[in-house]
Amino acid sequence: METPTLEAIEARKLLLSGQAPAHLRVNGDLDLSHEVSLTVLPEGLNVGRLVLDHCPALKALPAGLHCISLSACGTPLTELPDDLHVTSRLDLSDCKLLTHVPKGFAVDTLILRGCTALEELPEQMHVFVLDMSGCINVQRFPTSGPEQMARLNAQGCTRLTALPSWLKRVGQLDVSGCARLHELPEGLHVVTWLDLAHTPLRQLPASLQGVSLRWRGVAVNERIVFHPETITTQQVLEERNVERRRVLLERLGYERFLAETQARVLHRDRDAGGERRLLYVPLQNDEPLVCLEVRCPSTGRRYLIRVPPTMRQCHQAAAWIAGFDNPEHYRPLVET
Amino acid sequence: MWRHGDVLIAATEAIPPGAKRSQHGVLAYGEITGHSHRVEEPEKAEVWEYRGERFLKLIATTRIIHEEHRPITLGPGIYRVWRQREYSPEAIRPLWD
Repeated sequence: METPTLEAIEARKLLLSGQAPAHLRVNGDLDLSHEVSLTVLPEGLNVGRLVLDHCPALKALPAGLHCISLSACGTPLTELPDDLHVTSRLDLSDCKLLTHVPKGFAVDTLILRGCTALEELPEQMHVFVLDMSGCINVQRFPTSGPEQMARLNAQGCTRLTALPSWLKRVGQLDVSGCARLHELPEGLHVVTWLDLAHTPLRQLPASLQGVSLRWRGVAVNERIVFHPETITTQQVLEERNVERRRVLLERLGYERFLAETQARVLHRDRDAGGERRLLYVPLQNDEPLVCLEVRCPSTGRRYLIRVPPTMRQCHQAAAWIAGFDNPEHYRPLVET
Repeated sequence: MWRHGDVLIAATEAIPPGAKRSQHGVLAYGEITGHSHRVEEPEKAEVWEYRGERFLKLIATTRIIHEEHRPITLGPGIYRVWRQREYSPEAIRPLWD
């Protein structure tokens, strides 16, 4: 029987009507995201790029599905068919019911971000990039896997206790927020950077000596990570880059900084991130340091941003930071 | 007006004459983190630069995204995009994340 081939626009109609034949080939890409009525796709569907994000009734993928890339973020998929074939990229972010990925699954980039029901990764998977950030129920890696990966993102895998011994070389490794990860395996090499913020790691194995370190994305050195007690308030004050200053402050300890600089609170109020304070620190032989202390509404992180020493109110300082000398001109609708 | 981390966005009337079209959908890069504030669907947007400022023309509703900040949805229109600033005794400078 001849395999039917359709242009994307016709295929879309047919797929949404539920009348699409098995082994349908589609020329081009298909975006069926947010289609509330989509419950099933035909067996053997073959398409270039397939987007199924946020289809609330799609509980399973068909057998024999072939595509170059597949995105099914936020769908109620519980497992993947054993014969699923995705060449380049499979994005299953926020598939909160997903519990099973087939053994030996192979794809260049596998994104399992926020798959909170997933407890096991597949044995013998073949992936170059794996994003398993926020997979809070994965406790361990399978017993076999690739020796090399371009990127492994395990950020916020709070139950993960160890990295796999089979992984020998990885380009970028993010284990930030892995609250139970007490050590990294000897013999592991990280080529570009290792992010280890908010982990209980206290030292690195010999194979990782000299690796570039990051703290929540910010380049840092071993002293900042492993010897925060050596950071001084003066270093914090002199740091020009606001992200690095945030890390220095965080490692130094916010309370210590305020205590050691004898900051006075000039004003306090609230914005989208919560309470904010205008802090005043007198400096010897210099004009006073006046900083607005704010929290990011998205991440909750504290930031200190320096403003002119004439500022007296938080909103006035926030408006100045946004580029407005007149605070009445600064009225943001949304802050994230 | 919208604030997306250290980037501010406000509706404006036109892209200034003489602005140059940027070939990507990135509004601002982080200096250290490698993160970026960018248009989720670049095909719906034009990013223009004029004297250090960026302008965004959206032909359809899309979102401004970043690795850490929640997305902001913007409708079709023209927007000016700029960074927050920070004071120092030597110079007022843009704030870099």
